[in-house]
Amino acid sequence: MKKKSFAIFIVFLFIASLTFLHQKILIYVEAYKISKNHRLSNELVDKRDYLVYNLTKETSVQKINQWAEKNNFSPTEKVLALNLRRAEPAKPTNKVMAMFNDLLGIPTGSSTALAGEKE
Amino acid sequence: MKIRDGLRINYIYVFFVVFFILLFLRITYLQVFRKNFFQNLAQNQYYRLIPLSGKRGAIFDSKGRILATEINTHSVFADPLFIKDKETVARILSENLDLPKQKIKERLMQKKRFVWIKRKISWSEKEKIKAMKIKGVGFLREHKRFYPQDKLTSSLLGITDIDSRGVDGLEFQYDSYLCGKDGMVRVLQDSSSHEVILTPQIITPQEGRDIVLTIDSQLQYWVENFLEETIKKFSAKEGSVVIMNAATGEILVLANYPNFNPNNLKEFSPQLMRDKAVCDMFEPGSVFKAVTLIAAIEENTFSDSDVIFCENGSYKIPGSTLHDVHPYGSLNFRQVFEKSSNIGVGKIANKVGGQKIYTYIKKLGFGDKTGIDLPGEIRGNVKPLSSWSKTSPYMIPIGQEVGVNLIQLVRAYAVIANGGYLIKPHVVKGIYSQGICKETPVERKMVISALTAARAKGILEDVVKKGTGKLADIEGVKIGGKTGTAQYFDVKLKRYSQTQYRASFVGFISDLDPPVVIGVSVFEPKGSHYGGVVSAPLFKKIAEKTIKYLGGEKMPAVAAANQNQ
Repeated sequence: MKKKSFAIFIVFLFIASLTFLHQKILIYVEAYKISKNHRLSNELVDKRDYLVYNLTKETSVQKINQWAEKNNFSPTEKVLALNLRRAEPAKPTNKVMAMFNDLLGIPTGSSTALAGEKE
Repeated sequence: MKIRDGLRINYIYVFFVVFFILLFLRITYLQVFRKNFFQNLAQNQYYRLIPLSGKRGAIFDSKGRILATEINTHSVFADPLFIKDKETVARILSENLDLPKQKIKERLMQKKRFVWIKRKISWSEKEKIKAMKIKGVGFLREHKRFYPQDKLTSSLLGITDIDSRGVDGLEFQYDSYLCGKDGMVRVLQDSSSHEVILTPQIITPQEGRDIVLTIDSQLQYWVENFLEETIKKFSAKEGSVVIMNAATGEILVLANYPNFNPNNLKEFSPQLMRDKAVCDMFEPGSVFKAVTLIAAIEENTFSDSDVIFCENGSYKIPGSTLHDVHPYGSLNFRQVFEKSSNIGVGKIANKVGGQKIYTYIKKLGFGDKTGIDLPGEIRGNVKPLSSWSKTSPYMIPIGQEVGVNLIQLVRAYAVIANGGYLIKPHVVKGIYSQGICKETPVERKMVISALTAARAKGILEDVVKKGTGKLADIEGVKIGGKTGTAQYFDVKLKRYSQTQYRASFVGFISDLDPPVVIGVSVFEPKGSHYGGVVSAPLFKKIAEKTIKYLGGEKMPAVAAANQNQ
């Protein structure tokens, strides 16, 4: 009986140790994966930075102004005002529907937004 | 025989006992007394410390455009111990990094474990070298200061050194705010020197604070272009322009020419980098007459209709003779300033009195630093009253025997434009850190009455409408200002130069709300050296753009003019 218990204990100890070792290895495997991803992320950040660098360089005040001067581009000096007008509501022919619309506040007719230049 | 065997066994027994005792003592010594030493030795092999640099803060203009920022970059280093064929490696690196081969070889010959090959290389350079997989050559991630606007505002921003520490300009002045704090991470290192992120211990790096300036880079661009055009047109040596909000002291533009590209320090020279508007002292000439104007009005010494005889262009004063460019007979108080008569101003100042003129010079901030948040500001030179010579009461009021910088002049004219307040100019609007903003407060004190300021403003507006500043006039817009032409005092020859002049114009746009003051100074122009010819047209160009840009719609006069078009 004692021998059997001892054998079970040894097997249990072995399995426990194996599991512990397995977990330890898994942690290292994950650590390697994280390190690899970290390296990759750093490379991507670097690439992004170089792209941002190029973009910022190409969109500097000097470059934009030089482009505007070359292409004779000048923003409009007059102020554009949005003239928002609501079209005359089309009255529904059905009286019940009209009452229903009024009750729920459903707008009738189409609204138009016209952009006009303020003279 | 048995006895001998017993003895042998005993000897062996004793030997082993002693051996194990010694072994135990050695282990105890190593494990207990030398524990820390060996632990450190092991940790140094297993762990690696990677520095994490704290990113330097960015600098933005008032509209949020980036003026200076940090980008990630790489630096190449080598471990000479790992490099066997140093000649070949030096040749490869030299070809790809644009460095002399000999220089690289010398570094590789050093008996060190770490030597820099080249710092802050480009992406393409890094990729090329990385693809070669040279043993003993590695890369370190670093930050590099980048100025997207190139030359724009360069003399204001200054530069940083290779380690991203500010060495001049705003970068130097605000280094303690901009500078980040470096951090560190400790990672495990395997036998192939690969980093393994296993329970990393991190000291988080702290990013530097961002700075928002009062400068508007769009306006700055136009002004720098106009300044360059004028300098080239008159073959001048250098020039500066300052635009300041007269109510708050915010500097909207601070331009110097020639300037430099902070991204390419090969063309850098300290002379190019100097912020001339702040660091250069000069004799202001007639622009300084505004001090006498203010003093005479505030002290109620003259009314507008009082007549001053201008001696037909030549007036003997103690120790010297005053001259006018054009001879004048009798001029009234207003006309003296309109025509910029040296004799007239000299006589006015003499009547006001040297003591009072000196008081107003100091009241308007001359001879003291303005306190602008830029390094190297020159105090100027205002002689104490006790050191005034017999000629000083006549010469100082016309802008000679006195040294000022352009910022001081602009600040003095702001007093007239804003109704009597001496303000502290500043270029930093606020410092931002993790969503918290520390804004620069407006500092001002009243130095003259609003009435005096209004009367002086009217006279200076007439200078532009009818007087020497006609070329600065814009139809339909109220502009006040004063021209200035000053001979350069040659320190070596100890006399005024006959060929070197400084042409200035300092004025304000009264119609803008708040008014802005524009100071223009051009050194050594050729062809013409008069402030009214060289600087006034430049002022006009800048003022027109400024009015259009800062909102001409708010100005009734401009709005009316637009409607009539």
